[in-house]
Amino acid sequence: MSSSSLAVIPLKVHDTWMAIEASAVQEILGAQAWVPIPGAAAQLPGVVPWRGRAIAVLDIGLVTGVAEGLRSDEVRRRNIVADVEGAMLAIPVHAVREVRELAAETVGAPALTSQRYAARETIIDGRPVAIVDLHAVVAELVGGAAP
Amino acid sequence: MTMRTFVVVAKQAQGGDVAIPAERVAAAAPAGTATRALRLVLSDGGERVVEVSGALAVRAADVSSVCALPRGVAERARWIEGIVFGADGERPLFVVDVDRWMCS
Repeated sequence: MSSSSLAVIPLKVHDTWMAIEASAVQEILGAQAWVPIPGAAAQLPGVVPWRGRAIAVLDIGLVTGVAEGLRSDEVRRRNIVADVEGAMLAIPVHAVREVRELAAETVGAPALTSQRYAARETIIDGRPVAIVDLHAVVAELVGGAAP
Repeated sequence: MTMRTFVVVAKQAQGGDVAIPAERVAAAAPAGTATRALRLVLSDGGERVVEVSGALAVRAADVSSVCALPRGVAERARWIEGIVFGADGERPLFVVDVDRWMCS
């Protein structure tokens, strides 16, 4: 990836496509049941096991405002495991596409999308796609960098 | 991790302290007809009794299998010390900090 390009992974929640920076993604898992935690915030409603530890489930649909919250029995087809400043997240989604390299001139401020935590957007496969800033999400929901 | 002692008795046989329905203490316990009273000994020597629904069983878990809750989740569930993910099909266990549970 050159400094004038951005690598993203497109993902779909229900009928909405969005993207996250590929550099944060550690692994893409298949469908996986998650464990709701009583009292947890709706945006981080539970945990899943990953490599011998418990990592937080991020409800990216709810966080970005494109969907209602995950149901406790809802299992999506894919789970993206992302490392955002030391905070490990499992992001249940309905679909994931391969990494896309975006030229800098194809990324701009949102004009056609209006999702929360998305300060940038691009066009992928002819569709406007918001690029979600996971760092901003983590800063607000989880706090600062991991010790 | 602190070892706790507990006594399980039939609800009808519970005398002394009034038992607290578990679902009233923490949302982890599903509401339902209480069938057992679980007497808990806190670290200060005090005792609390909690009504629970369903069967009670002792399940041994290796300490190394207890996973801490991650940041962003743990802060909202301080009464959970950790979680033990079961093998395929086995329900996960919450490891409860009894003192915090009773104070939540």
